[in-house]
Amino acid sequence: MKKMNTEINIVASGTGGQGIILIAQILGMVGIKAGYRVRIGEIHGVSQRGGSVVSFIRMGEEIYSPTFPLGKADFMISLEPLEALRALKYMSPEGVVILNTRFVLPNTVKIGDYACPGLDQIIGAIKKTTREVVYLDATQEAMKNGSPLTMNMVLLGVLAGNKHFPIPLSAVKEALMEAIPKKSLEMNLNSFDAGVAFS
Amino acid sequence: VVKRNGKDADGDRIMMLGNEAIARGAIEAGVQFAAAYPGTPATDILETLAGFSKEHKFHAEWSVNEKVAFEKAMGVSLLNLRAIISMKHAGMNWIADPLSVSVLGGTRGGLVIVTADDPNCHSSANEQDNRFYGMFFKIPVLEPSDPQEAKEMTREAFELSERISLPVILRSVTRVSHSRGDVLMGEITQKARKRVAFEEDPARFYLTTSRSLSRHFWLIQQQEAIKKEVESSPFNQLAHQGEKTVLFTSGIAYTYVKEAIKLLNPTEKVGILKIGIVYPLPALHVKKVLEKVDLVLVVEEGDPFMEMNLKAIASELEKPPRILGKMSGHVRYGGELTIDSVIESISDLLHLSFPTQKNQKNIQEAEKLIPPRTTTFCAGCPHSATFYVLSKIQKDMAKKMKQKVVFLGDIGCYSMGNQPPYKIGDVKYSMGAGIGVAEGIAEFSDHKVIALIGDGTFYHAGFPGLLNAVYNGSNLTLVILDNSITAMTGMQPTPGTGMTAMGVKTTTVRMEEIIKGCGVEYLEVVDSFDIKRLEEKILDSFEHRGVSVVIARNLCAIELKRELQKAGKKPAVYRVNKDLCKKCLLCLKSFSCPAISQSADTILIDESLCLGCGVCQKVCPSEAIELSG
Repeated sequence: MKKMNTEINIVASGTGGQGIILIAQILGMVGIKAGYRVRIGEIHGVSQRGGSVVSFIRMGEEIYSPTFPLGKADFMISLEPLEALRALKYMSPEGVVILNTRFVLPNTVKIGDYACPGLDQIIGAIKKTTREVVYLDATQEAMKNGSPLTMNMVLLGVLAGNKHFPIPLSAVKEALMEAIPKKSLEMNLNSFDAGVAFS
Repeated sequence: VVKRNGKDADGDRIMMLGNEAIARGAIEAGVQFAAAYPGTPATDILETLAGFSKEHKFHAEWSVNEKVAFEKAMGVSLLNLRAIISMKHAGMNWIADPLSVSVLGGTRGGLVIVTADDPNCHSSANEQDNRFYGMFFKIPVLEPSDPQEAKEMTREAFELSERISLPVILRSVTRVSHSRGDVLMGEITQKARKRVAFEEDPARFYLTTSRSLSRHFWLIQQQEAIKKEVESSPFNQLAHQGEKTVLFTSGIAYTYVKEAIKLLNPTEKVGILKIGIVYPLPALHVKKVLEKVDLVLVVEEGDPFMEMNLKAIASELEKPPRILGKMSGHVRYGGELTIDSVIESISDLLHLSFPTQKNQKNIQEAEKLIPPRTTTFCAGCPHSATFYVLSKIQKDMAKKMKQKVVFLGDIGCYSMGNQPPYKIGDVKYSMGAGIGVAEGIAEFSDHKVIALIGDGTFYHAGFPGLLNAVYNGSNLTLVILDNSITAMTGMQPTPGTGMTAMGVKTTTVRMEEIIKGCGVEYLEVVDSFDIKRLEEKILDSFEHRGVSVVIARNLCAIELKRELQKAGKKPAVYRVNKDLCKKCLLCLKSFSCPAISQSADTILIDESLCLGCGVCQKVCPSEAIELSG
């Protein structure tokens, strides 16, 4: 395990039901195994009805709060492009954003009350704020492995394989294997590996 | 990652949700009875406990409401057994009545009341600081700052309750209940589930006027014992090395203070006092601290509760320090604290500057692109169909009769009916309040008045209002949106489901019988997806003078999906026939199902989301929606 400076802050964003909590739990387990203090901040409830969901994942030697200040996230995993914009305020200028390009259109766009920005526009806007943006159609990638529901594992793979991510790939994989029930493990692992390959 | 509480051994370090840690603390303490009514952010406490109830041989239940949960827990305590009840902050308002009297008699077995407050209204209709209930009823309040402490404090709360013969409040907030952290497991005490005899003591527990008065004197006297406990509590960290400025804090706010100090790294030393038992404050210790300092900043989540109590203590000093906080405008008041807001408070106090990140300006630009995202009903949700009908009735009544229908909302998924495109809902307060408010409006206006309530809320708080409406002759329609589950909080059973929290089959209480029992003459039960009949019956009810009830019933879409999955079945889904579709967008803009969307040249139904309710087909004026495959 590489030595961390002081802490890693990760923000995960998306919409209700996309599998953010599982990403957070796996990363939390990674932190605990590495002997760090771990804190995860999440919001349940109304957010489950297709609303915006954001989760804060923190690990390090000295961690107290389940959330972190604006501009302090080292990494973002966003399961949906619009939600990446919404959580962008937490990103550090030195951070890395990992983005699923598949939209989940809000009702306000569907009924024509609001316009939706294009993907290029979103990626361009994110690029101005942080070090690196890695984007892919993770949903498409997950479908190749049997289920669009494992899209979250594709993105987790991209994070684990990113050269700036300070935790060894094997540690993330180990936690994933522990967290996911045997029945659906293979499918999830394949999606994870696809993410790693992409990174 | 499953909820592994009870299984993990003493000494293991595992990741837990704050609410799971509270449940684990109760299991470690040998809890014998646990009850709750679902409510975010508290629901997972009883869910976790119910999951381990068989293994650790205790009783867990979803009670019909918080008041009954508390009363039952009190009965258990009188048998000298340990009980815990958990609720969202609003639940405390329900237990206030029985709690107010029962504290006079006091408890036998440890009784812990967990309240999960929801600053920032993440999933609540109000912000409420339940620490005041401790002060109101003269019982201690413990406030954990993280999952580990949540477990330790829950465990200790049972002991404390037994030492002082009073219930103890554990006050969590969303950011503690719904945060995960590494928690070191402790030993589980398993208390036997046994039959015990009730030991009579009417002088203590049969509370009538004179006895109540004498027991109030007992309660006042008992405060001395509580004060002693508080002065020596390890949860209060008052160590402090003579700095002139101290931050006085508790709970989640303590974690923000620690993070803020870490980031600000002030050259001037600042003392941090962390309070674990926030009511009553350890006055003797606090006085000693206050004597030595010039400036105190109180950083706490919720109302300025400690700030007020601290000022009362300071008033006894010859030279009290300046005490700042929410009352003085130095700490954010309303909404929830954040590390950023606490950094701002502390840096203002110490005249420090904390630079914002250089990317924030570009981020603000990027944020201008974001369309708002509202929560929605699920694809196949029976409520969507009901709100489509209600919305149609509202428009038709306005057009044809020049009359506004007044809609009273209530608590549950169907609260979202006020969002576009339905926009149904004029007033919504708290559990079951809709019917009562409807009665008031119906009494003195000529509007058609429709109160809406879900099945869970109806069983919780709906029928006293209904009974009153019948008894006092109101003229209104009650539409019950019955999706046969407590959906909003995550699929808990209701008395109408015939299932308990522990997964045991029980009597199914049919709401029709309750409604008829209340004396309602007009009662219609309609399939929510039969939108034509639903509209007819609601319009019909307007012709009926008195209280009319229309039950719009079909299963929650999430539950249906689970049932289909279990049975290995796929729903018969719908598709759009492009040749017939005139792109009137009615299905999208009036009905609004998440499975339906618009692409450049056509309307699409996402077959992976469609549950086959068929309402879009009924809504379509061009007969362009058909069964797929």
